Amino acid sequence: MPESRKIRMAIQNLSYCGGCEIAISDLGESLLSLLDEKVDLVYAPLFMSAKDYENVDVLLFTGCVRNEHEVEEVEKARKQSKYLVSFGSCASFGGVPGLANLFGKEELLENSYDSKTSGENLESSTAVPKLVKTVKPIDEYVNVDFLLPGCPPPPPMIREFLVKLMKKVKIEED
Amino acid sequence: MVWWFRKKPKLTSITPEQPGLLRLFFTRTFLINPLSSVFHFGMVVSLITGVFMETLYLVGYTGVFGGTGWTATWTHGIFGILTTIGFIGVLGRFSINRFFRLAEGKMFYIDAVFISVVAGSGILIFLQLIGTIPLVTGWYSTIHITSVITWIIISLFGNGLIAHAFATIVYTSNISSSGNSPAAFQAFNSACARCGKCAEVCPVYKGSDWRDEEAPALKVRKYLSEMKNGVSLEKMKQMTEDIYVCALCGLCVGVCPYSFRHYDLYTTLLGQVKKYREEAPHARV
Repeated sequence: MPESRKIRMAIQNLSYCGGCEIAISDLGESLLSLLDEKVDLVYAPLFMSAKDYENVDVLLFTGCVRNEHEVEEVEKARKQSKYLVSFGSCASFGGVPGLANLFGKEELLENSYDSKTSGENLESSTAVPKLVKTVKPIDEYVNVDFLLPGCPPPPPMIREFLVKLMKKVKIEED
Repeated sequence: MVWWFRKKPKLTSITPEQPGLLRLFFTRTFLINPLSSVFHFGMVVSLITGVFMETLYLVGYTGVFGGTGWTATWTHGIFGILTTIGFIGVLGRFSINRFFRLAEGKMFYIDAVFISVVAGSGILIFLQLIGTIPLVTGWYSTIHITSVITWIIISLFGNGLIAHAFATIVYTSNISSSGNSPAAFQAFNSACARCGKCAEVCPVYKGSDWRDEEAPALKVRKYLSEMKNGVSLEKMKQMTEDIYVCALCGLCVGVCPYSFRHYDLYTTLLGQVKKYREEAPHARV
């Protein structure tokens, strides 16, 4: 039987807290065996020091789209990946950062930088990407193939999800 | 590994698509409880054959139903027995799963009594037919048909199982057009199968030591329908405190057979609270 190649996987993150990666690392030994046998992790900013990724099979996307830079990131991700997974509540629905939609952009900025408690006014520099008008999950910008909710997704659920995902990816590759 | 839910949450689907009527009927009911699938299948077929036979009877076609008499009768009988077997399974889940009981509420008992009467009289008719018990003309059939018609009317207007069936057909037929509008939420309110999965996985509900009044997915739906008619300030204050406990984790979406986006329900409700506050800024809720 010919040995099938490993699935190239990347984890990209946008506006979020980092909990999804913690949950992935909570998989423990099963994560190690997964990396050993099936998955070739090429890019994951919280786990490793790779600078960029291209042509991956599966891309796990964590976090919601908050500013213009992240809109570009999402569009790039769709081009570079075969299957796009919105991983966790922020990527799927907006999550806790999505609550910002209840308030306007001005109201938020005023609360953070212009209120009396912060002392002095701050002017935004041109190097900082501008906020988009409303926080949106990634499926508002691009097509998403798979979805996993949870904040963070519970580790047994991640394992079950990855097993199902591996099956689907493999079947359609053959 | 230490697991913080009672049971491991099982995802209904790993893709973001909303299920159509057929997928709901054939696969999603099976995921909840295999016997529930049997119940649904039996119920639909026996209702259709029952209506078919009754219509022919009412228009005066009392003979052999145009040559389909045996087929219709036996199909109705066999699927009626399947419904009964499936319903025993549903009752079993009802008795061991407190989340199912919580989601179903009191209306389930009324539905259950009617279904039992219908199933009981149906079995007696079947026994008559194969000659096990002596023929008592008319009575069992009268009970059977009267209780079915009464059940359908009560259940349809009392938001019971029949309302769930028809609302599901309506909900799935215009899910793509209505999207996440409040109208879709209202439609889901009756369509919901009340399986209790959303309450079962909720970490906030778990954190509140399974206090029944804290079941969030059920609570927020109730509030949304109450809010439509306008509420008092005191009630709004209590609602706001109640709603903000949601961790917005979205696990309820992953396990829901309808893949209903409960998350959007929450943000819609929070948006309504905010609008209410802006209209009455003195009210610090």
